[in-house]
Amino acid sequence: MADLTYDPDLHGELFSAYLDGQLTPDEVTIVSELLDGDEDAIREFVALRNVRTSLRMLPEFEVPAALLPDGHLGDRLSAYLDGELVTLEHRRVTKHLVECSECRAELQELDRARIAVRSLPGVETTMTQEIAATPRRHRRRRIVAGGIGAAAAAALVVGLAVGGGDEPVLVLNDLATQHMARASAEPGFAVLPSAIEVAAP
Amino acid sequence: MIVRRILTVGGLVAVFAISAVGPALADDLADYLADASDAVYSGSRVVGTTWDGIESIGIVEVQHLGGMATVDSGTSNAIVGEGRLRLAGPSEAALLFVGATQFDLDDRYAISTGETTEHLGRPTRVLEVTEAGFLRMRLVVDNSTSAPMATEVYAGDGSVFRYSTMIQFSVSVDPDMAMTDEHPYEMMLPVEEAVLPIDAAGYQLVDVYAGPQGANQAFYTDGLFSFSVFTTDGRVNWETTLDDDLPYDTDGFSYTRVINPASLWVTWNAPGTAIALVGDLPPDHLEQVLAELPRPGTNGWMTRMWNRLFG
Repeated sequence: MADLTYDPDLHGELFSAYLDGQLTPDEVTIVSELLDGDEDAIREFVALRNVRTSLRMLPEFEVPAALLPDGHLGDRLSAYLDGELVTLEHRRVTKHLVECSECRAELQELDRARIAVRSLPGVETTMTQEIAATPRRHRRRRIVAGGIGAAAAAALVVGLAVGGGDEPVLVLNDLATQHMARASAEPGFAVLPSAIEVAAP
Repeated sequence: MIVRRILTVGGLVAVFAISAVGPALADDLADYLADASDAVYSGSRVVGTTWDGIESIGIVEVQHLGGMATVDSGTSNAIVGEGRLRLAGPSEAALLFVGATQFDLDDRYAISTGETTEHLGRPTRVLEVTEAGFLRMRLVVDNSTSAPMATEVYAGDGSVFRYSTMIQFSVSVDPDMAMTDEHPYEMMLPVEEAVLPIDAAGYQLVDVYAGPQGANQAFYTDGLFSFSVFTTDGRVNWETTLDDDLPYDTDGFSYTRVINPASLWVTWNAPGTAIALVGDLPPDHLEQVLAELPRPGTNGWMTRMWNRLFG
């Protein structure tokens, strides 16, 4: 049985500090004695713990960038580079980056610093084999072109075979350009390699 | 601004009615695509396509900002995105497409997150897009920007059909990258046209436009891949006018194809109509689509004579 009697004014702060792990060994002994049979102390302690648990369970709301004192991203750039932002916040940060050259410059500096750190001796990186995963087999014929100029290899004026020389012509590059412009309105355009192929002159 | 008014109200209604029948959105994949569309980055990208053992490769410099991308090959420069494209150089083009631009992803695709990895020393994650349990696309995505660092598109036989890999990457972009473009664009508005099927092997006919030189452009997408079918009256002697064209035989019909690093072109003549298909769809999808479009062939002798005599 505890020799101490629970006094809210005297011991309330002890419980809070106990839950925060901030007590000295002597203070921990006092809390242990209070919780050893004092129903008022136990009730108060359980209530306090439940409140703290409930607070931790509340959703976290980020302050929109526009409401920050200077309207910039600050420390969230670091979280952005770490891939730690949740979807909504990620989009908010990205939207701000699109509009704010100052934050883009800061992000670039931060990224450079991180790359420099990662490139230091002793800093492990595990490069993937993505490039090696590209196909190397069944190569009967290889067409290597300098970028989108590859499309120009087939960029020929195609005349209609019927009707004589005054007939309208089809230029395949024009068709490809027109398709690309329309396709760029679709969501898949952001990830498919076609996003980079535009008809060359 | 040059505006081509080629639209009837009825046409618009028809076009949007077509687009409204799109299948349900695959939320996770749509979320990622939205993030990728907004990504801010620049770098160099290698892109290649391998089809029937034929490989076509290209390298480009890319900057991506606010849904728009600048693409520079050293010989040409373009800015493209959100239905807008401006191509600089001798064959300048500036096109702006409006209309049905929010086509939902087909529910035939599912996405799953794979291993955490690194690409070019950057933390990345792997996303796998499957179609009826079959791996259709594998993406390596930059954790911070959501940029696609590497992409592999798989053909029906499980081989890599198309791939792209960033070989240089930065979160920086040129401050002068055009966000406000005052250049006049030719606004493309949909026309009423329904001679082609509204569904071709799971691809929806979203809208139809007046194409170059009197051709019509029918745009199809399944939300991930897309292609346009250009049609014009008459016949085109494709074989004698294309470089790097190759025969392509499927289902007993003969076509002509051109394989580019990031797209394929298939051309043929159907009775009374010359057709060119331009898109990024994988070859097994292509075969299924071609089966739904007019097949190669010629008008019969009697038909040709009748047309010649009586129009």
